[in-house]
Amino acid sequence: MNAELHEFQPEEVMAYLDGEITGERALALADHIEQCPECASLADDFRSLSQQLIAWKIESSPLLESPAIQGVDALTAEEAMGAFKSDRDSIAALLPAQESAPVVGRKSSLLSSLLDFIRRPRVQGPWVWALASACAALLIFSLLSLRMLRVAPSQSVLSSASRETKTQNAKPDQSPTIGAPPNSGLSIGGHRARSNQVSIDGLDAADNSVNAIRANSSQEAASAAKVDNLPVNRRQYIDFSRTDSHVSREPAGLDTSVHSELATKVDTVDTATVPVQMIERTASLSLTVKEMDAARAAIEDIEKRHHGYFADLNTEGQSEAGRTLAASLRVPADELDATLGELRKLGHLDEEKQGGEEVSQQHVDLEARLRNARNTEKRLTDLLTKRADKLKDVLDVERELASTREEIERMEAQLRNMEKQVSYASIDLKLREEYKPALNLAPPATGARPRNALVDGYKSAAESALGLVLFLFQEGPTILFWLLVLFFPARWMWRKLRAVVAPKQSLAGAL
Amino acid sequence: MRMPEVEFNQPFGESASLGAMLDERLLLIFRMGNSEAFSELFRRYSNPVYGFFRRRLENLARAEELAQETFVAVLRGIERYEPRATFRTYLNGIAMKILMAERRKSARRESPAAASIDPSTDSYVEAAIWVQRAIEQLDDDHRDILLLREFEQLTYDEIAALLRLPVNTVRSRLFRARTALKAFLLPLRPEMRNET
Repeated sequence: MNAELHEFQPEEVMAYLDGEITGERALALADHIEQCPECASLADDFRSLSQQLIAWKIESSPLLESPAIQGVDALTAEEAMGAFKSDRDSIAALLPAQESAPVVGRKSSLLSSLLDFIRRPRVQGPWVWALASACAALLIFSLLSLRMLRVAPSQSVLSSASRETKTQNAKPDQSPTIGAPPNSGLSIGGHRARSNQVSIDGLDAADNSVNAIRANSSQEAASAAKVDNLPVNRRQYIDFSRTDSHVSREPAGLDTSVHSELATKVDTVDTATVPVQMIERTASLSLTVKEMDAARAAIEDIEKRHHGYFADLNTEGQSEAGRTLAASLRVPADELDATLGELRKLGHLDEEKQGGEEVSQQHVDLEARLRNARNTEKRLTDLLTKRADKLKDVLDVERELASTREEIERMEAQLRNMEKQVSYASIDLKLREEYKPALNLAPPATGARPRNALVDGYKSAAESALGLVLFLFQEGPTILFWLLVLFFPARWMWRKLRAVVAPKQSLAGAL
Repeated sequence: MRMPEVEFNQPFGESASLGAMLDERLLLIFRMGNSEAFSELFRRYSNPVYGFFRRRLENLARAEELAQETFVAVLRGIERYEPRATFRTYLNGIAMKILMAERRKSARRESPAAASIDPSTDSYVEAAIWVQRAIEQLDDDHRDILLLREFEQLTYDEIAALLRLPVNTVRSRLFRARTALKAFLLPLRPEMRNET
């Protein structure tokens, strides 16, 4: 059909037949169809098509065939509305009406099927909630784990203690001898023992605090050390081969029971098989003192009496206000407890920490390597004197010997350093003078303050904006992801919820 | 359209008077507590709603379930109904939504697309099968509009509102659908033209 020749588009003819065109236009179209054979045939086609389509009849609704209507009629509006109440009892209460209706096939009554239908979402309820709570739990867990990952794991005292015990157990009982550490007053001559349980009474300064020492090579002692209730496992580094001199150095305050225990245990110690405990001890004290000057003098006195030295000392603060002093004090390991006791008396104790790091394993390793290196040196020397005839061989051996000796020297230095660290304990001391507010009579500068405030304000505004941007960058993808994951379940649940709530509201509105 | 007013103290009469009422009035009366009003609406629209699904779904039992679901939805959403729209439009809107949801579900289930028309079980005239086959050959977009026009008797405006399409699109698609259907029907059953 050539549409251009026609006043009306074929679509318009169709719309006219569908009753969509009214008024003048409809009249014009009616006239045109009468005159134009093409449009008339088109209209006929459309009419016959609609006629043909009517042939597709559908059987009457099975909902009507069943006594459904009676089911609905038996309901009052309140009951029908009540069917949407969430409690099943009200639904169950409605069911007798359905039972009275004759059962015809699957659909005995519209009411029962409606009720079935209404109940169906509620059966899904637990699943919905389970899914939602699972999502929520997952979300919380993932957020928490994100937070946890950012916090560096701190080592607990207990874990370090158990680690100590493990090293101890794993260690072979053939530790080599080491020389006497300088300045410690203790010496090791192939005889070693360890004290596995040491309790320290820090308040008694005169006492060196060793109340009980059990030198025992069994594993039980090692495990006893683990469950020790002290904040830190403390071990002493004691030479039992020279018991006389050692005991003589003990302060007078040492309990006699300790002496007797020492005396009995010393004999039983098989020193060749007991690994030595080498512990770098550290302590930190935080005190509040009344007078900083007096306290400082006292500290220096303590330092001198215990043969220690200051690795570092800083004082801060104005003379009137509360001053602070931070010092790093090093004292011989066996005088640590006495020193700590004296320091505690300087003022009010705010905080105290003690720690120990075991370096026995490192020490043993180093010694073994040193021994090997010495053997190598000896063999090389032998080789040089007996075997090497050619000049090239001599040079090679010499070179090798030189590098071995260098290594030996380095290891010896390391060993000395380690022993020194073990023999000297370090104390981090923080003193704070009691706060005495001082009256400052100088008038505060007012001119610069608004400007400073403005600058600070600008700075904090800029920082908070930047913080927001950073936060969005950092957390944005996570939030977006979870929103995406949770959006559809949430929307679905919202719809379900609304569908359940709406009829209730409608009931309220109707009554 | 002007809505009949509902007086609150009006005693609700017998079914006969209900039968004479407009759909919208029936719905309002039901909302006020007369369940017979809903029965009347149910009587009026059971067949159209069932037919709506029956023509669009292969599964007979499913069509029945969805027809029922449509009435449940009317019950549930009764408070949201605004007399601005005719009840028929409102009902068709609900049925359409339910149908769309069903199609999404069955698309996910990957149900076989092939039509399963079995003339031996279909007790209706043979012509119905031909019509049905021809309609099935249409695009989804075209088929929906054609069915809404021919069987639900919706106006172009109503179809446009229901499918959220411009009226012109509805008109042109309907035209194309009818033209195509005519072409499909001719080779299938040439004698049909003579009958009609």
